[in-house]
Amino acid sequence: YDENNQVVPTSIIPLIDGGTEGFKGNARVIMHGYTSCIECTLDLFPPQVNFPQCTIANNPRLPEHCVEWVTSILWPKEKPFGPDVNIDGDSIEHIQWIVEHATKRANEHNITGINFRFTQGVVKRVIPAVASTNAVIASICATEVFKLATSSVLLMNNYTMFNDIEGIYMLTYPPEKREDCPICSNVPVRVQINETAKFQELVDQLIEKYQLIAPLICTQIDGKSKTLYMTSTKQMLELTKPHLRMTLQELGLANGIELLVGDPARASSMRVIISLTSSMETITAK
Amino acid sequence: MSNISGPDTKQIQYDRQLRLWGDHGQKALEAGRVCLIGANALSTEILKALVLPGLGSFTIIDHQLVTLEDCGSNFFVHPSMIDQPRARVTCELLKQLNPDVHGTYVDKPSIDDLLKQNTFDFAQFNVVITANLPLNTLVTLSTHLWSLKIPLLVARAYGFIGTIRLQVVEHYIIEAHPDDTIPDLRLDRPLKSFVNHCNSVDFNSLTREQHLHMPSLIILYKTLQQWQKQTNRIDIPHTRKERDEFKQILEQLSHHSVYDVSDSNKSLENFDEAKRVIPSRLVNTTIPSAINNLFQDRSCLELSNQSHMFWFIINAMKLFTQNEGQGLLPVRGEVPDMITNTSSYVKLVEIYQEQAKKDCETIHNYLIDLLKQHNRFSTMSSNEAATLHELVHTYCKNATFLNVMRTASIKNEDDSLKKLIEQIPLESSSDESESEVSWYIGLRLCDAFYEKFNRYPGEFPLYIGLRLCDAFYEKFNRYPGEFPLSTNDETNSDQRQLEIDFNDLKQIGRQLLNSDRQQSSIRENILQELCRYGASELHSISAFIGGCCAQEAIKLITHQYTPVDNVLVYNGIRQSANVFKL
Repeated sequence: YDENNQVVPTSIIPLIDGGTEGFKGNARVIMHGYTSCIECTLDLFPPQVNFPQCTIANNPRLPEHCVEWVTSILWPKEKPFGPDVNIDGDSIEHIQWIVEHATKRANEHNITGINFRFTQGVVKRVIPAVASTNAVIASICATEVFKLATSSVLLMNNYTMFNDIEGIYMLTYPPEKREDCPICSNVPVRVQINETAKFQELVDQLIEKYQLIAPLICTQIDGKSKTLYMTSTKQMLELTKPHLRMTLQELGLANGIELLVGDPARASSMRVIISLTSSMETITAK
Repeated sequence: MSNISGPDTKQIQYDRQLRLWGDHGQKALEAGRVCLIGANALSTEILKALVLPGLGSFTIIDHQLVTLEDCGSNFFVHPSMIDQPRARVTCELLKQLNPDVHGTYVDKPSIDDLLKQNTFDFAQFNVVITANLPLNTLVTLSTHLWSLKIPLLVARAYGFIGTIRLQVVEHYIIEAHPDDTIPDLRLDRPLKSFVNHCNSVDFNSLTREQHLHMPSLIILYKTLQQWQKQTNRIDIPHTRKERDEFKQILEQLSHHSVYDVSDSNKSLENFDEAKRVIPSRLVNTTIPSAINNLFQDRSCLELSNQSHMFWFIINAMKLFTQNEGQGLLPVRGEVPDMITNTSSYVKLVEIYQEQAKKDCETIHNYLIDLLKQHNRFSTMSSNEAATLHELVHTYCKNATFLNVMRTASIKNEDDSLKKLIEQIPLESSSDESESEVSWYIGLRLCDAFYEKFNRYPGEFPLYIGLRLCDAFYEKFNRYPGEFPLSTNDETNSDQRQLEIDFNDLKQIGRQLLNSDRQQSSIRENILQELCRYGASELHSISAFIGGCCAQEAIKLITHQYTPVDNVLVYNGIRQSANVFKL
């Protein structure tokens, strides 16, 4: 982004992404800043299927529950192949051991359907795959790259879903860009924090929320840039470590101030605006 | 299939796809024989996606030699192989992908001569696939295959456009594996054993533990019983008001004397689940119209000694629905997971599976009778007879989704195309965006044909455009825009040639479709774009069509999943795919 908050076209590196699962697949062309990106649509991904603990422990009904019981409860208890040996989904002996014990549990509850292939599928969370779907999605991605390289034809706009379970079905549409997307938009993120909090708290909050590894935080106070936190060199670490114990006020961070946060986990820096709340507000918000 | 013992090498190698079509599907695939006509980029892509999953055998027919052009478009072919027969080279390379697959090639005579001589046995194949075959040859071949009743897949990659056309006299879809199914629980026509089981449950005398773990299915049935008593009905609630009444009763049942004192905050998971699944449980159980069509189908009514086993089983199922089934298909036997304790769930599963087994047995007996009646039973091998029971079981489990697919023959395609075009209105201004016209076309088609087209129909005109290109080929022995590359000085003449081709194409269009209203449907910019392609073969487009076509062939061989019905047009520019029936 340039000073007028416009995307700089030459800075864009197009990203073409595709994935398949059995007879379904998808592909997308991402031009950060113009099209929606993966982060924009992150909440469209379905949650992972996990079985509740009480089902696994007390009320198994499906063969999957029996297998999960063995992998999550019995194995850690008995450690059949050694004290530090974890389950290896590719090891035939491991899977056979699991099959044996899952079957025992299944028989106790009159549940059927456990065999080697099934068990390995549950343990490794196997996703079925065929050559044809992979060829199709790969070809879509390749075609898009070809278009980019030759400028012969318009690019796809911008997300495609493919399914050949019943006939052949394909839908291409552009998902909406999130106005405040932390990755592809240049809109600053707003973070709320108690006015009496220590800087350490703010840093922890940022690390957790955005999965940062070693953030570099700086800001502008009275026209002068100030490095609030930096861990890349021992020198800077020593220098900025005391900041963590200080309160936001002591550091000169007023309400509405903008920080710049860089991190190895992110390609570009994030703009973060601090919103200070009084103690009463924070408690009721919880 | 092994129980505890580890998998054999084939099961490991094909593990990921076995989870999609099972061992029996894999067996069918490994017995499958495919004939591929044409050894170009498209055909190698098709075969690749058939050879890798373990197809039994393939035969490539192509009399041409490898040229430099081929090396540019087909990554299976290397400049060192120029001037060797294309069929042989691609056959050898494809076999390397999977040593279990048996492959042969025919490099002389040409397919045209082969058809003229009529000595080649096409009946040995399960499916025949053509890749960019010229129209004349295609029509001869398709007519021949139509009489042999061998399915034909016509694949085409043309610049950024690709098409697949299926021609099949009769294809049976046995295991459709639809994406979303409503479980077959029949609350509106409950199983006797289910009713008995529910009647043994007295909501008023439940312990807290029992109430907490009551399966949602039983909760719903109890609620239904009460609602039916209240309203003096025997069916299920339909209107908004009725459903609200139902939910009220459900709410009442969720209260239990033991709870309300200390558990006011407790959320009853099983009752929440019951509420949540109402839309899929309170449904009318009926025979789908597609199945009724099968029952009324001529092939079903005119059962004979020569009929395919499919029709015998359909007849057996029909007899079942008319008698023991009381107007319904055999019970599927699957019960979705629900929040309850093990023994309650297992009991429910037992009830439905017991009934499914009984129904399957009944249909099996009907089948044996029918086979004996038509003198088929005695001529069956002992192997076939032994697997009959398993076959009936498969049909019963998938009863709701059985279907037959029939397409028109390619010979009559021009008539069908003309009929479709006639539906296009006269006033479509050339300024109108493509989607407008297409939507209009789509609506007209829906009106005229009573079919559920409901697709984004922009690609339909492309198919017509391709047919014009074929007509161009007949006349000039090359495709429009396909002429030898020229040097820089001659680019001007290339431009002119392109324009000449374009005008010729338009001429042909006017000749072929002679009514005025038909002309406007052939969008000029589409013809122009097709000229630009000059019948070039883009490898990535070939890969797309290749993958799709191979999967269609696998569907035809395994009788699992539903094939495309029956024309697919792929637009690589907009990345869209549209299917329509010709």
